[in-house]
Amino acid sequence: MKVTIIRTLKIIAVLLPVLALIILDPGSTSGERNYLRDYYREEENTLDVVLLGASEVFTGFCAPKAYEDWGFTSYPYAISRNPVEFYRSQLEEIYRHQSPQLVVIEVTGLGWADQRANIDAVLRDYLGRIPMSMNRLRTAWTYGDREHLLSYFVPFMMYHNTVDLEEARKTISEELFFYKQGYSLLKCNTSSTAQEPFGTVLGMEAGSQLPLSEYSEETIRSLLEYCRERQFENLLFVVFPHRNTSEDVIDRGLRLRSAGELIESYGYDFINFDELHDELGLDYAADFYNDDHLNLYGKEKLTAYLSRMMVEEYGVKPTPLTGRTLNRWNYSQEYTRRYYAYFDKLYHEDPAHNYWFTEDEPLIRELRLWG
Amino acid sequence: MTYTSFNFLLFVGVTMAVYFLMPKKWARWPVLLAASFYFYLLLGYRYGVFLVLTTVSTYLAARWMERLAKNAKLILAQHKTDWDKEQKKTYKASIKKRKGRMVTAVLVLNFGILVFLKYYNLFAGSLNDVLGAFGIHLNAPILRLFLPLGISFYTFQSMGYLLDVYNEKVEAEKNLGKFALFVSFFPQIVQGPISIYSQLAHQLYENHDFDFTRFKHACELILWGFFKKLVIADRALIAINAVTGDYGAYNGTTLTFTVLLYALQLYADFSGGVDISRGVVQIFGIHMIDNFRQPYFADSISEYWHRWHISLGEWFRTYLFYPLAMSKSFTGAGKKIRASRFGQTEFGKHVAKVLPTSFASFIVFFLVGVWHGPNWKYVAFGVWNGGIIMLSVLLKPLYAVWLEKLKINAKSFGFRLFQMARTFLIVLVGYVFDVAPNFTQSMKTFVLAITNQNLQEGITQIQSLGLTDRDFRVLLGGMLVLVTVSILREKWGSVRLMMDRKPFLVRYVVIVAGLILTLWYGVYGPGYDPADFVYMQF
Repeated sequence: MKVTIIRTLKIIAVLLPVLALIILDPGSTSGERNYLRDYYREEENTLDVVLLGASEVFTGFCAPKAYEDWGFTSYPYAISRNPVEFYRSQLEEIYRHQSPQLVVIEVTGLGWADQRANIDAVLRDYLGRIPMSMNRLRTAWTYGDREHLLSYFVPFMMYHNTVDLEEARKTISEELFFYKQGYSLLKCNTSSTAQEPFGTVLGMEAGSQLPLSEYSEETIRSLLEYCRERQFENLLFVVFPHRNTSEDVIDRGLRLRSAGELIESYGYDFINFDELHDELGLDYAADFYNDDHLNLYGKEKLTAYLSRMMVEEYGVKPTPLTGRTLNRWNYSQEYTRRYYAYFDKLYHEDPAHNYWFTEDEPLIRELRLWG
Repeated sequence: MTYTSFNFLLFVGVTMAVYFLMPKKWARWPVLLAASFYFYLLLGYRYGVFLVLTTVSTYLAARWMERLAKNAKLILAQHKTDWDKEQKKTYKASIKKRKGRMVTAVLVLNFGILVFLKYYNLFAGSLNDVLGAFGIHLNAPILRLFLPLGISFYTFQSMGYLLDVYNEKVEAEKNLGKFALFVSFFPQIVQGPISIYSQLAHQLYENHDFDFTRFKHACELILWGFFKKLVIADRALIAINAVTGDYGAYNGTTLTFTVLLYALQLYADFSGGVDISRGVVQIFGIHMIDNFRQPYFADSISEYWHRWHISLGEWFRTYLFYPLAMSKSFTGAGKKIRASRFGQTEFGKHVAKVLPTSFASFIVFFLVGVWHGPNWKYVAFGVWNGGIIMLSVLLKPLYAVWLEKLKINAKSFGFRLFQMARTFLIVLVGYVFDVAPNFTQSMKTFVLAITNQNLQEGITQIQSLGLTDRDFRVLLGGMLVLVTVSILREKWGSVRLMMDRKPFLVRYVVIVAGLILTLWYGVYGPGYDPADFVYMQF
């Protein structure tokens, strides 16, 4: 008996560092790692609004600011290059954890002529950040490389050859920090002070449109059918603002008009913010950090506009918060305010420098101590 | 399902669980048989036809021969007194003849399948080319043939058994299932080692109990195999494939580097795969011979072939070399030389004595070369190795004279190092044939290696072969580990047994480091095509 126990302990001692290594997720980029993970850290059924989409969403909407100004809670469920074809799976994730009054679905991706981005890379970013569930398994099976299915659940198998020891050390340190923190302060909020130079902004001809690509039409129809089947009524489809400086982007916009018609034919609302730049008060020079993404200042404007619309036109009512949830949101609001002030100050001290902020451990520590 | 895949480990785990959970009073070998056939058919169900054909034909032939031999013994016993010596001799000769015909038929059938599948297209293509040069358009069809995985290994193994039954060294296996297990045993079917029936069979059929120490040693061996295969071999293969994919684009320095890298890659790949196989069978209480014994430490090409692919060497020695060397025609040739004028000289006496064996060696290596594949470069490989061995045996007395004249101490460490370096160089020449796409390119490689050395250009080319700086560092580190372990094995035998005597902390650090390094630096996962073990294609 004693021998068996000792042997068992020895086996565990050997396997423990190996398991720790396998659990390590070295492929994550520091800034975006926590975006989806932190969604699941929000207490269940405490979010009034969830926004679904790609990088336009987490650079364009500031949840703590919306909370500060309008009192409702929200969260951008977004990752870079998120393709619309993953939205079915992601809607299931959203509703598994929350009961939002409104889900805002950003659909710029439909406007491209063909399938964009490396779907597999985005799939790994997505699946590597959500909890284990049947939906996760099904999504890996449907969209993933079935010969390497395990690698969607053990990221180490994918990224082990690119692991940098220093990065790995930072990863572990940050994981522990965020785990201890327990929730996201910035709520999937990232932005930049940059204002990249740009070419001439082109306008879209009123009334004209281009047909969607076969792939996009199939994707959006599938999504809309799914939403209808699940009786999702509280959906708002949008296109976040872009700076249209090339023919490709104009064509994208023209296709998105067709997407809008199709969406509306299913009974859902569609708002194209690319047609509302004036109403938003966007300054092409000051409010975009590149053609596809708003910067710190543009984000404030869009957040303000969209939040007002959610409350006044879509009837979003702030759910009363209490106890720990209330404290966390208040703290997040205060923290974001400090974050904005800090970066605004940096920008004015050196406008030429691009300050890029994410939920970053050293800065969090610094700002807690600061002011 | 390759040996280095997660699925294979899972498969072994499940087989192990089922095997050891079977009640002791039941035979456990059917579990291994079921697992073996499942494994093989998963690799490709088409291959199963050939495996079954070899298994059944060999089984039936062996049973028939044994029955014939037993009946013959009974008849001889019955006629002990009424037959004279001549009659008994004639009868025995007729039995031997009948057995011989059966053995020949089954050998022809099974080796015929192997030869046909492997070489038909080469012969057809060559025949078309040769006849075409004379204006004859035969147009022998080039067929779309597939080569069943491991066909060489299971054919050699089963034919070895058949010959052992023929020579009455072993009794024929009566149980078809047991024999099928011997032929198809999954850890070895894909790339060996080739086992002798008398050594492997009883281990396969006995019930073995789980033993923790044995399991631990097995896991260590499997880990070592994984390290060699995933960290060293598959990483080196990236660069080798880059060169072989565009052979004409590289200078002599790069080609030389590639051949050296190939020496590392081939050894790590093949020995890694064999270690995984040996580790897996050790879990089930079975011992398989080690196919490699630090081959690059050999001090002669002959010794190299006693250290490299040992089971293949054993097979050829037992079933081809000795029968050839001791055959009447070969020994007769030696006698003729001895009887001649040349044979009266000292050197002539030596040649007469060693010619049968040295020529038999040449033929064996010629066939080893041919066995490697349907390409003239492999023939050249075989001729090179066989020729060197033959010459070294024939010229041994002259060699001894030179050593004495130059006052070289053949037992000194320095001389031993020289011998190892010389042997390695000879082996590398053989590898040039192996790694080049064809015979012409291999000849060009020799020329370029001598005439087109440019270090600067070579370094630039080597850096563009798909390996990063990190990869080169890992390869260097892996090679150092491999050399260290090889030295330890050469000096002290089993490294695992040596480790057992070390304190737990030392063993723990080594094992955990091995696991982490393999997981961290192994070439596996999405983005990498799993590199098949080199000898799977045989």
